[in-house]
Amino acid sequence: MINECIDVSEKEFDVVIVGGGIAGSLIAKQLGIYGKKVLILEAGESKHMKYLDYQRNLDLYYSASVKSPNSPFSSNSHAPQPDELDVISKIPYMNSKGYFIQMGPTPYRSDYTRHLGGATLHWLGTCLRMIPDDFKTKTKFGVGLDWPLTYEELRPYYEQAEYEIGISGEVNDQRELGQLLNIKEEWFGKEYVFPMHKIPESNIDKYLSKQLEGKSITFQGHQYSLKVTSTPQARNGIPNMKYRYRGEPYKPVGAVGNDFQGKRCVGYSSCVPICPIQAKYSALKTLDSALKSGNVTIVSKAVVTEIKVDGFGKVEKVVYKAYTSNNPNDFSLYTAVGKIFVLAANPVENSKLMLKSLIKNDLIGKYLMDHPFLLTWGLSPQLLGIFKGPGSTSGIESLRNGKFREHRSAFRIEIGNLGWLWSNGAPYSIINSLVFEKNNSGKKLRESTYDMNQRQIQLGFMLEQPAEATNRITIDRREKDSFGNLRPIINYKLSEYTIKGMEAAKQTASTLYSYLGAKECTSYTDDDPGFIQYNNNSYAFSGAGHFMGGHVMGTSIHNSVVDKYQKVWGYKNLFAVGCGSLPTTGTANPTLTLAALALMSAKWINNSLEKEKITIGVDK
Amino acid sequence: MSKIVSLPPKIQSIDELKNYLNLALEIELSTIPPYLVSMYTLEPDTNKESLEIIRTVVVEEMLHMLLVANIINAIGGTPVLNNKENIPKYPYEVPIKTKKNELLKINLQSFSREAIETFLEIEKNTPLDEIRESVPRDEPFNSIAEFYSTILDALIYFNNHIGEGNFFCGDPTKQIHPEYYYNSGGTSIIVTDLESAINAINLIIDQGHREDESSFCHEGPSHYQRFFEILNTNSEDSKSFFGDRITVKWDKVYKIYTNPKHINYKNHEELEKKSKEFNILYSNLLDLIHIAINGKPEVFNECNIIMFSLRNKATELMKIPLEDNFRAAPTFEYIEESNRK
Repeated sequence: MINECIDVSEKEFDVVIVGGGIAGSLIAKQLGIYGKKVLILEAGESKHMKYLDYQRNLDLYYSASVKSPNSPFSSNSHAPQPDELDVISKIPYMNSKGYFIQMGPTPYRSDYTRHLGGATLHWLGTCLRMIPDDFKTKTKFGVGLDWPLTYEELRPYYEQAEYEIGISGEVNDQRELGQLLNIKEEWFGKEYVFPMHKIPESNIDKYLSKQLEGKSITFQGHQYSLKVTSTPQARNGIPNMKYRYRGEPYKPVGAVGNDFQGKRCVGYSSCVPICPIQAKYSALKTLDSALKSGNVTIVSKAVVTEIKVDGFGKVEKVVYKAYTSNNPNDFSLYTAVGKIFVLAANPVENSKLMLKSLIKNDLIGKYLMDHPFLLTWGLSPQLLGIFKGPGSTSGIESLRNGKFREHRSAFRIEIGNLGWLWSNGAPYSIINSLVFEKNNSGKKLRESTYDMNQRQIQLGFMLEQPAEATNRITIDRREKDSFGNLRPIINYKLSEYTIKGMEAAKQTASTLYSYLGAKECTSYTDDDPGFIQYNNNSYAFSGAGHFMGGHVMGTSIHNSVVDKYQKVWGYKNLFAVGCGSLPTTGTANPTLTLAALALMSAKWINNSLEKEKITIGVDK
Repeated sequence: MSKIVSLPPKIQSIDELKNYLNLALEIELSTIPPYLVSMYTLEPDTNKESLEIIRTVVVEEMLHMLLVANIINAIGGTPVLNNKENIPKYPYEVPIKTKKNELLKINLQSFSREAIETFLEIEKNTPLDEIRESVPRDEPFNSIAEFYSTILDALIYFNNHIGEGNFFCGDPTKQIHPEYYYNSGGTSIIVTDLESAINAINLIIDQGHREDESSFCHEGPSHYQRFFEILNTNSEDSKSFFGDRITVKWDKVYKIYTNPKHINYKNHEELEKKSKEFNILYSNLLDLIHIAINGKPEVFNECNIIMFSLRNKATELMKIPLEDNFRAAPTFEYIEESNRK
């Protein structure tokens, strides 16, 4: 049942979840199936759970003059969200006019969405597993933190996450990659296949595969292959008839509220920020099926403002602000009561809430990370047939692991299907310059537009960023916006380790463009907010939208905020889940990993509720 | 399953059954162009709810074609879609009698109350007690449900009579698996025996022609209920497809000549060219589906691409103005392969 801004203080739930994004929805669905009474408190709106309202978000996107990841998902003063477009400068003060207070020295360039469904509304849907070495970077490379669990422990939950999200991919391509990355562990189970076949490779994927066949690059005397690998992704493809989940074949899940849409990706290419047919997974799908259990209640327009703890480390309730209009005073404060509380908002919101509620742990808010993203671009001598398919369908993944990680970041290379859209605003910018600078018109304009756009190659380098305590989220009780919301304060800096990774990335880019016979056109200007100079070379990084850290997991209260089940150290019934718990970023887009962790937590939470039942039974 | 049925008077042999199943394929196909044309005539960005509702019906009709093809293949028949004789021409007379005691006639026409009323006739259900056990050989069927019910009886009869193994003797590799079907509108059913054949027929009847709550295997409003909502947006009797009341703007529709013919486009060069291109695409599509349902299911991937091209071509046609505020429209005429250049 979905309600807006109602009072639930009279009811008692087994589990109260703060945030209706992917982590919260996966946990709600599992617990709902197990028969537990679950409440989700969502700060933002929920109306797009209805098909026709979702379509209205699409209209917002079409009509936006500048298209950013949040353009279909309007800002809401009671539940403010950052926007990529807030970052306009290298001067921290200039970047602090939106929701975040950016303290620098480098800007944090990512954003998230405070609407039901969370950032999966505007994500690309890339679903790579982390590699086993990513779980032990401290031990293996002397960098960052170690995880309190091994890849092996998480593997079954990766499989479950791939089912819940619905992944299209070719497992043999991943196995081959595993060999290139020197993975000794069983990365994918022997009999395992993905629920759906891979999304067909794009024209540019095929072109790169061919041109780069057998090619490699050398770092510190080691040769690394430049093989192109298809990307497992969260969008509907052709179901794999060999796939079974608990004995059942996979059925693609269509649009929420309209089962006749979205059973296959048809290549609209607007995945970021919005898939018009919902062939791309969003947490709305999981929420929809969670509601079907009859045990899950969603209350939207309910911003949780405080966690109330008794004197014995037990959370009693959370306080939430239920707002009815866009007026700052138009709200009521209510409480929600449950046995277990799960913070499942974005890492920034989870950290903010714990800091405000004086949860006792010095590490809250620390180790904020992202995947700094280095865009490079070039022009191929031949027409490539681009601007087709999802934003990306393949990558060069073979540089995600190696001995070099002792000295510098690893990276993956995302092959873009949409030309210079991200780096230069193509095709619109190209047309502008042809018309206004080169005075092209008529047939010549059509031909040049086609020629200029169809030769564009964009390779995005997604860099690992190790955890550092100085990169952090804090709050200051005096720093509130006009609605009384505390503004997150962000301290952020790229370390030399990551910048050295950027240097290697740029070298790799030049090598790749030369293998492709393409003209490299990358140029970074010092007015770019992400501009960096290092060893006399220039770089400019963007954000990947991958907020990580803030409540990292570890082996004790001395090195972490949560344990491996994401339970907050020192509290009996408080969990903080999501990307905030990741101690390392690795080079996998993090959503799949956060989903696997959430499913592991769901199982643990259910077990502990069951145990409690038994205990009560004995007491009687 | 073990129901004892006698031979339906209308279907006296397995060959006749195969012919009836091919007629079923033709009837299912005949509904698609009229639904598409009514969608094409909606002005851009208007009547989005109606457009989506009609689209959901179209994808299910496509599924029905595939299910019928699977049944034909399962009993060793040949589904035919590459022959002019099997492709509906408009106005198309469905061999089903309406309440007015006339054969049901389907037109290619603009989105309008009249068009939706015809759609309701196509999708109307017959209460179970009005479906005759044995329709006399020289009388038309009273409803599509009755038509399928007769086919069902024949399937059961021959299955019981000559044995499942002998009757369901088709090449299983010709079955269209869920893998090859687009999924929207449901999943294909692989037909290998009587049980799966019955499931396939029930799914067709159930998705299309249900008026009440009863359902074998399908959730959500039937085609009849969906069209009923377009015609009666505010009625208490309407089942809401999207969970919210919809609005219909009957005036935000392009006018087209009912049942347009390519021959009438002769004196308009651009129009004639585009109309021919459309019909060639349509014919290529039907030929490819024919190939796909006759042993090469992987060809369906190519069909998907043509379906998108078909929509784009239709949109181009609809942009061409004719006299008196009328617009051009696709004519859905099958062109023999030799005449396609």
